[in-house]
Amino acid sequence: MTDTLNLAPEVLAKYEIVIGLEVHCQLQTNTKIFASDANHFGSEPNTNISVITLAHPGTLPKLNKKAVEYAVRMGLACGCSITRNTIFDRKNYFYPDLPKGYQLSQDKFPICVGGQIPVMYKDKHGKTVEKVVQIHHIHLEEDAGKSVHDGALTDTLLDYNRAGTPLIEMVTDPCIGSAEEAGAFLTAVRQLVRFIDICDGNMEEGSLRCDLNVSVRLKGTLPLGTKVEVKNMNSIRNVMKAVETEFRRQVGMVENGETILQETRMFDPETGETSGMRVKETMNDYRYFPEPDLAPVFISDAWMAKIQDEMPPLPRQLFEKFTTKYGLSAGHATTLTDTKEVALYFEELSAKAGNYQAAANWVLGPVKTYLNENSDKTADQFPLSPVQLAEVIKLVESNQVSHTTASHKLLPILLENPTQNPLEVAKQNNWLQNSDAGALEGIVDEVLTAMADKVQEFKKGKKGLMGLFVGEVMKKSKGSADPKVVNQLLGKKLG
Amino acid sequence: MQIDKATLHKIANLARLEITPEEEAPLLQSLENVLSWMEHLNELDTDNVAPLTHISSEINVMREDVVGDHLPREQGLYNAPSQDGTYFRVPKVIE
Repeated sequence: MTDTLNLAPEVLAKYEIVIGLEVHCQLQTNTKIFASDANHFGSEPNTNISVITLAHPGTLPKLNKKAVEYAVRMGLACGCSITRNTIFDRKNYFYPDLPKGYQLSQDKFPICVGGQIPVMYKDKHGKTVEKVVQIHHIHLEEDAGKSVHDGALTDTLLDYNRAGTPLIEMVTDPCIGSAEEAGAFLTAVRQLVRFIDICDGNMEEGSLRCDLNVSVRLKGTLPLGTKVEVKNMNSIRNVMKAVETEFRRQVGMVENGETILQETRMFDPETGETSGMRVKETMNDYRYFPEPDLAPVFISDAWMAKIQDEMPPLPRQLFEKFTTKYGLSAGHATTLTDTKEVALYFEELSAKAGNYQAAANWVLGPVKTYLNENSDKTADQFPLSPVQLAEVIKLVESNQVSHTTASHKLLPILLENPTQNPLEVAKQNNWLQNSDAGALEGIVDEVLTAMADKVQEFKKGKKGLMGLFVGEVMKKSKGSADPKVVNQLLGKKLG
Repeated sequence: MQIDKATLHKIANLARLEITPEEEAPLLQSLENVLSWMEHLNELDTDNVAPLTHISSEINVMREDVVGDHLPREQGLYNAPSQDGTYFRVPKVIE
């Protein structure tokens, strides 16, 4: 065993890591890909099963149209070329979680080919890097059942609820060069599948899974080292950790003159280490061949157009719109497009409020704060609808309620009582502010007369006293004065 | 086409078949007959012929995404050699 902990930084610096990712996304269809069993996580074991799922003799698979559409959606979102004539293939291997003895997958004609996902991330030195990750292909396949290994038992338990769940597998080119880049890519994939509504992106529950293909080579050399596959990471953080671990392990082996085996290794989330699983034999062990039980799929222009029409807006399209059309900063636009729910909430809010920047500020402020405090909720579950929040914004914009009162007093009440009318609540609590210059002028005069000595000091140059005058006027108006108007009036009187 | 014993055992292993020493010779002969017969296909020039993956001309045989009947669990488990009323049981899979 190589002691990877003691590798000197200058030794590690001689090498670079080459990473390819295989990302599996469970498609959130109602039913499985080749059978009409419910596709649902968390059901009682072996209740979402049928004779097709259990591979009873004489049963035939029938393709779920929606699964094809979701795969095409992902392809369009990534700029892939869509394979109009596609077929399924059998991938043969024996494993108890696969009742048929083969997995229905795609080999020679994957449904999407090429494409890319742009990523932006901070590297180890904190420098912002922009890069485009190339996608090799995306194919459709079925998920396997779930094995339950109970340590106390001599048997393995099988639950076939998951068997036949539609999956897309996205395979990248070996073009990812760091843990940070791998993390950024996965984050982008997760954001994308959630935006286009094809997968919930939940890595803990396994609806988004990622395998790593990792090799190392001396910097500046071309041939790729022997590829090692790493599985079993259930979070983006663990994927990044596995990259680091595997890099050190492989560099250590190369430095010691050891031979790296082409194998599959399991990541242990407890220790952060990887351990060998099985030595991969030759690739053609799977003996792929065209699936005779499933008719070829042809995606016509009309069908493509329909899928295109049903495409929700993509995060980068919204980012473009928010920065160029709405004039928001890149930072604001990035946060507003983090999740589909926030982006759609903001879209509706700004349309109703008629002020993009104000709408952005309210979403990035109070709405985000609420979502942070209620982490189980998404923006579409924010108690106030965009229409109601737009009412609040209008009250502020028209100077009827001060921004502070609106965000600190009015909003908390509305969050508790979402059905109440914002204007009515403001009226009842006497929060409507006085911006009538005539009425305020009297109060201003009163204050200035009462504080004649301070006025003298102010006129001699003690400009900091302005705040005191404003505060006095506000106090006398019981907080109902519009600070902007007060400032203007004071400026005029003292100028 | 010549098939050697190692290939025969590799194929048998992939199909999870056990072959006794007595079965080797007849199986080798039988495989060779089949493969020699198939070799005739190589005589054809298929350079400009698209691969034929399916015999039927049917395409797009698909279902709408609607949940159908499930197999009750007890029925699903019924034929299993080993089960516990909830799960199928198989000899421990170790990797």
